[in-house]
Amino acid sequence: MEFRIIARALRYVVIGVFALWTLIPLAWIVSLAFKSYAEWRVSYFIPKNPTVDNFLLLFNPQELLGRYGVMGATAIIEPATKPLLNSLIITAASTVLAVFVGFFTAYGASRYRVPGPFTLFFTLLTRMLPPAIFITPIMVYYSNLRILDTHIGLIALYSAVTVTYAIWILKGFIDAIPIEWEEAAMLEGATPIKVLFKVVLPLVRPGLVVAGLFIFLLTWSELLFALVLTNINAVTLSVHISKYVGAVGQLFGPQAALALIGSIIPVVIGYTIQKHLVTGFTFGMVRG
Amino acid sequence: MEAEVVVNNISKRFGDTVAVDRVSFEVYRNEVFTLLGPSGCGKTTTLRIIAGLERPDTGRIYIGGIDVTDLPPQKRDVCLVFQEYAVFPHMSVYENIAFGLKVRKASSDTVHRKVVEAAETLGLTQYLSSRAGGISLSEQQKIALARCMVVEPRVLLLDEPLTLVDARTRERMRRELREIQRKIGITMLYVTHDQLEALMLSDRIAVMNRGRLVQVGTPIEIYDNPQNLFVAQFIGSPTMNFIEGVLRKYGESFILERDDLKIPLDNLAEYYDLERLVDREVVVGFRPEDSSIDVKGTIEGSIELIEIVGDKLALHIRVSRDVILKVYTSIYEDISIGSKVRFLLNPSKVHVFDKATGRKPLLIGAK
Amino acid sequence: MAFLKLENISKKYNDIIVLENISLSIEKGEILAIAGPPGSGKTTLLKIIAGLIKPTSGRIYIEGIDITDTPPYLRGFSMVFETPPIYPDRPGYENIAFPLKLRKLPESEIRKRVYEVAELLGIKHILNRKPSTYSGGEYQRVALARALVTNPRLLLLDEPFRNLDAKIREYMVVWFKQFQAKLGVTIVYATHDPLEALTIGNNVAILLNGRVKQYGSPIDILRNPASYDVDEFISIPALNAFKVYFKSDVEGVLIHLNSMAIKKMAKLNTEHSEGEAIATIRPTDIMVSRSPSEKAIMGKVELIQYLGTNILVTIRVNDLSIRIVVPKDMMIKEGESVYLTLDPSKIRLYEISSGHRLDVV
Repeated sequence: MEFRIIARALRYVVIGVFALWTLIPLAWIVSLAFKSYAEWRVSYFIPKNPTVDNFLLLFNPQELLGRYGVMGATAIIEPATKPLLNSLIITAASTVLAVFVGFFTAYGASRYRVPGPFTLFFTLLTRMLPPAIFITPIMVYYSNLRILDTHIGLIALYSAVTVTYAIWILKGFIDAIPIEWEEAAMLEGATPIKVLFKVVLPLVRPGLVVAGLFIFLLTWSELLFALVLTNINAVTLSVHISKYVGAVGQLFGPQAALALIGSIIPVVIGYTIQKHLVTGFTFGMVRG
Repeated sequence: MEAEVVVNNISKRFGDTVAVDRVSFEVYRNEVFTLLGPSGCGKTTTLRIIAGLERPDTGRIYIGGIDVTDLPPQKRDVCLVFQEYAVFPHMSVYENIAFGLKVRKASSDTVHRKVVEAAETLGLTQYLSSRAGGISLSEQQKIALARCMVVEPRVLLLDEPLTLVDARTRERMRRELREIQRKIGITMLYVTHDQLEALMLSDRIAVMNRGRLVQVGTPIEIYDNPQNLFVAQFIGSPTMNFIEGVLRKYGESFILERDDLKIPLDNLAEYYDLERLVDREVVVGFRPEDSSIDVKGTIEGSIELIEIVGDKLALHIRVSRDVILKVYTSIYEDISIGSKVRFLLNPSKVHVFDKATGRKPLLIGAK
Repeated sequence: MAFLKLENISKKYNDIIVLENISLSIEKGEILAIAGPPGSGKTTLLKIIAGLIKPTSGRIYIEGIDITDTPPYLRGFSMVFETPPIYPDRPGYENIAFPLKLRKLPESEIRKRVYEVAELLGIKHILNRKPSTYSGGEYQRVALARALVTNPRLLLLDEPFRNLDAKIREYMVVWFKQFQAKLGVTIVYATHDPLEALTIGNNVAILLNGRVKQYGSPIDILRNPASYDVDEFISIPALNAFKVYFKSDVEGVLIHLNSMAIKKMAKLNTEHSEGEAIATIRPTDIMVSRSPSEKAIMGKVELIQYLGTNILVTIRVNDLSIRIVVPKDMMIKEGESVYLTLDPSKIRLYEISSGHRLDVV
């Protein structure tokens, strides 16, 4: 009996340590986002004079930097509105594109045999090498194609590198659909294309959501490609966040505020679509 | 006979549902005792309580005369064979069978001797050095059995071990399992939802429904003399014929009435207390083999369908607007769909149940 | 003219022969049952008829018209698979209406037909429910409804009741047979259960290892199996089979089984007048009695297993184990001595090498 109590206590301690380990950085960002300039470098959690100045500064830098000029900002920083919009557009477009292309590829990979050594495994190759290797050649290509610092450029690159995840995730879902479900529809008069859209697509909807969400998160937080390939026009949120500390100065508060906004958006999206994840997940057969 | 396992008044709840409700029974030494019932009847929970994997809310369990209710599974001297094949696919058959002995730190001589012996009994000798994952499912289940046999438990517990093998192999395994049990003489507590399996394997069967024990008896008692409507419905394939109606008494004769259908039940008065049920709703049941086609038969109907069941024909005979009864006849009989036939019931094999309670209104002293 | 005719259908995958020279036919309104163990090629054959798989050689005709190269969506057949095509993401109504929506029928017509077929199958109450709430029997009926709603010319059924509990299955098989008689639809029915095939089919084809080993009426197959493997496949409980030595003369054939000699009145279908053969007798075709009689063999009861209706008894005679089904009223006990009578007319002889039937029926 005593042993059980000790075991249980130990279990809670381990869980508690792990929870703190993951939650402290998050709490730190939340706290910092609401701290006034004077408290940015102090190591307590609860702000003494909570303020939303950091958020206002993000969208109206001109006025606020006038006030904060002394705080270490050495250059004028652009409002965060444009990077926020850029990120939304680029992430959404490349996610949709990757999932769309991924669905068809996954269907082919699941239902047909690919001749020769070109198995699906090859699609993973691009993800096995460090992305830094690609950066220079892509920059050269993009500059020749004149798509550096454009939405199109980033969307094309992001969907190309994430499509492989869509393929692998969706293939799993398509594999789980009995081939007979398609064959029945075919006997009932559906052409192969109709089978794809009327049978397979609705059945893998949960898979589309999973793949979409995963790719959205991945793209949303991507930094390296965006940093190298954008300058003014197509700057994304993650690039913009990095700017608050560095050349422009030491704006910890506003950086935390923008990071907070940047992480709330995926949470909201994930939360609203999670019900699609649960419903329709009943692939299992019924037994009598 | 000596009781190897005594289950005394155990109950178990999961939240609001009562999984096991005041169940008591005894398993004798060297018998095969089967817990039989539909899914959710509490049979598996009962087995798991005996194995020590669940704790009963109330009641005690005795194994070999010792109260084991508070002992963990490994101290109960039982071994459990699961429905899923609990073999390690990466190990050889030999290593699988030896596993339990090695865990118990038996000497390597003993391990070798026992493994070879068990493999021989179960016909696994030729596979001993094969990888366990590579052989057929039914052989894998035998490995699981051998693994239990070598540790020589007092009681062998089996939880639906044949559910996943195909129908033909299952038939063979039922015979082999029975032969092995006879040969080595071990006490087996078997759980299944398959009534045929229970009939074929068991010395005694306990039928469970909704957490309660509804009848305990030998296969023949359970089959030929079900004590209540549930057992009558559950045991036997094809299912017993049932006719619901009202019992009437005209003069001295008892008649089951349903619309235009009238079935005389005179011969039953010596077994049943029919007087008590007059003008009440009853269910009369009889098995297809307990009736016979006969020109002097008391019931008439027309043949709707002829079904082939092994060496016999099952005639589906419509006796009234909504009652079709099944009667057996030989495959050499010339009979055709649509023709009229008469048939007789064997009075000692006709069962009468009170519809309201599901019980049999037996006369005191009658069998 | 036969409604559906298969002519020398073969299917090979690389060097593996899945089906070999299958020729079958079925009349309008009848049920052809194909019985074979798992892996015998039943599903492949059904899919070839449906047009989902192309045969390596052979032709398929419907009412005399060659449809071998017609794509499945133009054949007008329906198929119910072992994994029935009930899409879990939409309610019963949508599932049944699916083939009609593909045909772009007007909504009112679709409604009418779905309700008609649902009424017929007794599933009107579950039309608005998701498939995950169905019982096994309901699931199977929705699948059947979806297959029937298009009024198919031919209905292909692949183990439609396999996933059902034995009790429900027994009921469904009988229900189905009556239902078919009422509807008059032409059906090809595949099953691994020989008794189910013999009950359901007007004609039955026994498919073993990709070949039709016997094709005929259920009673004929049951009474006169053409080869050893057919006999073995259709006998439940498992057949008794012994290696014997036979000698034939003008009167009949003498079968030597260990020290026993059994006289059978039959001509043999072989040029040899003596030799080795396999003799089979079904457990249901042997009589057991407690009192000795002329020609009865004594044996000892080794094992008894209750089957409900009957008792399956294993009896040892010298060094042979013989399985016999005896009526449940015979209160037989293990260890008891009993007397067996073999009816020579129920003993069947097969050639050892080929398995062909030797005794002429």
